[in-house]
Amino acid sequence: MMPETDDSMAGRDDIAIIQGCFACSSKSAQRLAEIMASRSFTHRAVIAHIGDPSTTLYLVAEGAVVAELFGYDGQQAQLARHGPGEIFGAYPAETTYRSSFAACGATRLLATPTQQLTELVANDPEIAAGVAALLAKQLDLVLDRMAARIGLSATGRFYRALLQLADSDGRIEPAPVIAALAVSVHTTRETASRALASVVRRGIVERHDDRLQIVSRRMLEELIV
Amino acid sequence: MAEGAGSNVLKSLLALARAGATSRAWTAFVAAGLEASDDPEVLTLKGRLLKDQARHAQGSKRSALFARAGEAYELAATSGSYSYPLINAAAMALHAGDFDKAGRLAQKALELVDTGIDKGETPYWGEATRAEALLLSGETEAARASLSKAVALAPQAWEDQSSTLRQFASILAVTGQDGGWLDQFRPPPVMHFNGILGIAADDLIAHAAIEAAVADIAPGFAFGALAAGADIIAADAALSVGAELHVVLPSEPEDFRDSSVSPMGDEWLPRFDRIIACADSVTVCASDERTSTASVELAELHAMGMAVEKAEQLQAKAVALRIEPAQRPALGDPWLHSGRPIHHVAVTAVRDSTVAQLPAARLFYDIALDGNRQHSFGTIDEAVDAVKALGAGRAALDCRIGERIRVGTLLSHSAHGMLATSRGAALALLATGLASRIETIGEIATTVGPIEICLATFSGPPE
Repeated sequence: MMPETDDSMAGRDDIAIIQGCFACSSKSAQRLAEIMASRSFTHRAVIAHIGDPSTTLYLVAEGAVVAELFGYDGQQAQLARHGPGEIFGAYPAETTYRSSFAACGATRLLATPTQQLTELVANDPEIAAGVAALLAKQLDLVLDRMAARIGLSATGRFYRALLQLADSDGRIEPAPVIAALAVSVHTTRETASRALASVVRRGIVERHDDRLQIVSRRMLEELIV
Repeated sequence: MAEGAGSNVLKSLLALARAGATSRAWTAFVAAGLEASDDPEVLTLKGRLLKDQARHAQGSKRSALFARAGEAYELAATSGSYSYPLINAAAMALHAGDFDKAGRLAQKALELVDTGIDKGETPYWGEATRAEALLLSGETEAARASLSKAVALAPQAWEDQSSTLRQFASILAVTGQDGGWLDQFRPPPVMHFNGILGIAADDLIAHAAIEAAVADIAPGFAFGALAAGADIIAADAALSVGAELHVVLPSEPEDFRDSSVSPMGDEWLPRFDRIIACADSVTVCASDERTSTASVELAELHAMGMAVEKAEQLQAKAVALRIEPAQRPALGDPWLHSGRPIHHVAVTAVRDSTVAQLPAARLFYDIALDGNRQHSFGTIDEAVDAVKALGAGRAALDCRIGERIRVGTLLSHSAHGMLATSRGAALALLATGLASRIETIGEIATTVGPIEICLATFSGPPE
């Protein structure tokens, strides 16, 4: 199934996602956005077949991607699952896919041609540091998965990120782009939006036009599970 | 208490307490060497743990535990001008039978709130603390007015309101007052709905009957799937009475739309799409699986469990709406066995319920026990019986549809003899009435996706 290419990454959300994931300035995010494309896939749509040339590095913005292989017995086995904020594909050099990749749920990927990304990394230290951080984070995730170690739940990670963004008075200014914050803590926009709505409903966080205000740091900390 | 390891210990102890493991939480608290700590955060937790124990105790032991809980809260309050530990100290003194002390501490808390020295952690808690202080001071009418103000400040802070209502009910009981007036502040019921697929889209009689039943229940929250027929009509009716709608599907919306909506007629599709778009949440139970008999069963349990969990959190009533032909017995309905109320709506089916046309699959319940023993069962009752037969020791429970057994990865998180479960299994335990409480403690990353992990407490007398 052919993916739907949305546009050339002009949206504020996508720039914010890049900034959040690569921890870079808006200028560097803009440079990266210029070589990125947003691609949407329906549930179960094939993103790549095993053996296909792999010439792109993908960042999962929404949904999830599963890597699958057929064993010698013909049984399909799931190798990995990449959720929001994770990367897969080719880097630093083009290669071939060693497994098939398919979308799980409605999925949106930010795709960067490997060769162009390598060139950008050579010229933009912020992007280079961002790629290194993303790869290190990915390695950490792989180790977590191997060890089946317990960590925070998705809402817990989101609340912790809110606390980390706040200044000593509990102000988060400007108000974060929730879709971007969600991706940076490996969860979905829906989960993050519901988590924020829940603390706003209880008065733990106030939502203003230009900022978020944490009213009770202790109550928010208690929700980090 | 410093950030890091110490803070994590407190969090894990609080999780145990919230899961209902009262005595285990206290044993772990003492074992962690925290009993003599003068850290306000530790003292507040100590108060909470002693209070939980007191609630399960009788006679003089009960009073003594409440008194010790009060002392812990009072000590925590001395570290600063905080109304939260102070108002708890006042309530504990009342439960311990020291009415004078309760009044004195309540007045101190009232002063802190009235003078603005402590405005409360949130606007709701500031006013609710004032209301509780007034109640403990014997000014019931003023307390009622103050509680109304608190609720108006955060009308949907259901979790906080339920905590206040629980506290008020116990104070009114101790002082021999009628607690009936608290009902006006209780949250609306939580509804789980399901029913047959075979209802014609233009069956006005069925629509009217279902809408009338939903209006009668007046749910504030509704949980269920969204198959063509009864589900869609009930979900629409719930939205029309202003309920929060939480859709729980066995598979991804696109799969479910193809398997359980489209075959009943294209006229259902726009309704499905509209409801999915405006639902407060959409939970997919088995996103890797296609809709099957097993995934439908799993989603049913998941939705029921979520409804029960919400009702427990809010201290609200959990009710079920069942829409089916009058002659069809609902013997397999877990809700029936839980003893919670069920509203039945009798409808006429125009065609057979098509669950039978879905691909057949089996739902398994896996348990892992100490010594690397793992077993699989066809029903959750059998799995729970096997865990209970073990007695003490670590145990984990998971449910699955495919071949991939994951329960072994859960076992190491069975802290303090508590049952560690995936969230899906925990919700199934709640739905079937086999667990009284569940508490999320985090998430395990695995190669096939994250598993949210819970501690569960079996129903029965307190441990």
